[in-house]
Amino acid sequence: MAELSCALFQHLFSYIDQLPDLIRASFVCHYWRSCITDDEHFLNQWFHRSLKFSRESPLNNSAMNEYQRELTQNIDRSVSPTNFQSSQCYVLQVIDPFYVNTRKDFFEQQYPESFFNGYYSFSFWLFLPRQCEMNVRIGTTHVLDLHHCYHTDNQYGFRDDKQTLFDNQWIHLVITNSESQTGYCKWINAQNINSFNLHQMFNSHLSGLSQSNAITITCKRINYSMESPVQARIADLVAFKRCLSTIEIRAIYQQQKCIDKVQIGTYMINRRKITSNSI
Amino acid sequence: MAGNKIKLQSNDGDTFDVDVEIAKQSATIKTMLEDLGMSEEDDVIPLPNVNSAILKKVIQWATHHKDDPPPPEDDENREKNLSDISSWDQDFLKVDQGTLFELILAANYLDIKGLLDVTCKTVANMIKGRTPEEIRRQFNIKNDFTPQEEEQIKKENEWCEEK
Repeated sequence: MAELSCALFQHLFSYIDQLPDLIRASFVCHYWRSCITDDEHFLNQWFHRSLKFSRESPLNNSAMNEYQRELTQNIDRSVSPTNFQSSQCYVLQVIDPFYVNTRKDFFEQQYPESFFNGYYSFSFWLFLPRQCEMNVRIGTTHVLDLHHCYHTDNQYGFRDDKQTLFDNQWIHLVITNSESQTGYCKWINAQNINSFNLHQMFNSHLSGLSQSNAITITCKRINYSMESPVQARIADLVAFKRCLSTIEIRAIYQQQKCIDKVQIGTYMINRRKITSNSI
Repeated sequence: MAGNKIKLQSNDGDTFDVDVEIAKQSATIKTMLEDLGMSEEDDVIPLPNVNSAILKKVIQWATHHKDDPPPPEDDENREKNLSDISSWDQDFLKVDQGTLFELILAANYLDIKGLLDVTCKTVANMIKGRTPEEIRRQFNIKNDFTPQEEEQIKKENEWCEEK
C-alpha cells in the first residue's frame, strides 16, 4: 500500500466525501497524515469540491410574486462588500412597524421539498441596518429572531434596551439542521448561539407567508422612525445538503469570502500552526 | 482498422495480443501509438511498470468496457458517487488487496480513467465510516505514531470537532 505516491493517494482521498472520514484517515499513519493535512492545496481542493457538490440549487422563482422579482433584479453590486461581488446580493426592504404594507417585503428562496427531509444548512451574509430586527423562517418554523432573542451570558443582547452589536454591519449567519424539523444549530459570526431563547412573537404579518419548502427572511424596524427608509442586504445565500462543520463556518467568517472562493485548507493549516505553537 | 491488434509486453516478459481499440482506452498507449507512429503489427509495446498477472486483469477490464463512452475530461470537477459501481466491476474487483493496489498503480501508469475511478472508489468505500484502527487493520498498516504524537494530534484536532 505504501507504494502509492502521495499524488495518487490524494487522488484516492478525493473520493472520500465526508469530512469525518478524511480526518480519521489522517490519523492512520505519518504518510497518510502528510498526504492529507500537510498539503494546503489538496485540502483547499477537497473542501472546494465538497462544498460545491453538497450545494442545493434553489427552485427557479416562477412562483415568486412580482415584488420579489423586482428585488431579485435589483441586485446592487455597490452595496455588497468587495469579497462577495461574484455572488448574488439581494436588497431587502425594511418593514416599518406602523406602516403595515400590503406589499410583501420579504426575501424567500424555495428549494425542493426533499431537501428539507435530510441534513441541511444555510450560510449567508446579512447587512442589518441600525435599529432593525431580523427573522429567519425555514418552512413555517421561526428559526432565528435577531432581536427578541436573548443570550444567557449577555455576549449577544438583542433586547429593546440594548444597542445591538450588529447595527450597520455585515454579519455571517449559518443555520444547520441535523434532524428534520427540530434541532437547529445557529451561528452568528462563527459563534455558536444555540443557547438563544427564541421569542415566538414576531409580527403577525409573517403568518401565512411562508412556504413549507422555503427559507424566508424579513427585516423590521424596532421603532417608528423619521429616518428615511433603509434597506437590509443579503449576500451569498447558499443551501447545503449537509451540515457545515465548525472549521468551514469559521473559515468562511474569517476569510469573509463567498463560498466559491473560501480556502478552508489555508484556514486549517494556519489554525494548526497557531495551535501547535501554543501546545 | 477494426480488428487490428498490437502486442503489449509485461515487465516479466509475457506478450499479449490486444485489439488496438481496446488498448487505446489507455491514454498512455494511445499517445504512444499516435505520437510515435507505432502502428505496425510487429511492434511490441513494453510496459515496464506492469506485471503479466495485472496486465491480464487490465486487458480483461478494458475488453469488457470497450464500448463505454469516453470519460469526461474535467475529472476534478465531476461529482464522485461512491455507490456508483457496476455489478460487473464489483465482481471484477473482488481481489486481494495487493492486486487492488497494483491495479490502481497500473491504471494510473496506463492512464485508464475508468479503471482508476472504479478502483479508487472501491478503496474509498473501505475507508468510509471506519476508525483509524480499523483502517490500519484493513490495509495492514503499522501505526507509526508515538503515544506523544497521538496525544498532540488529538489536541490539534480538538478544535476540528468542537461545536
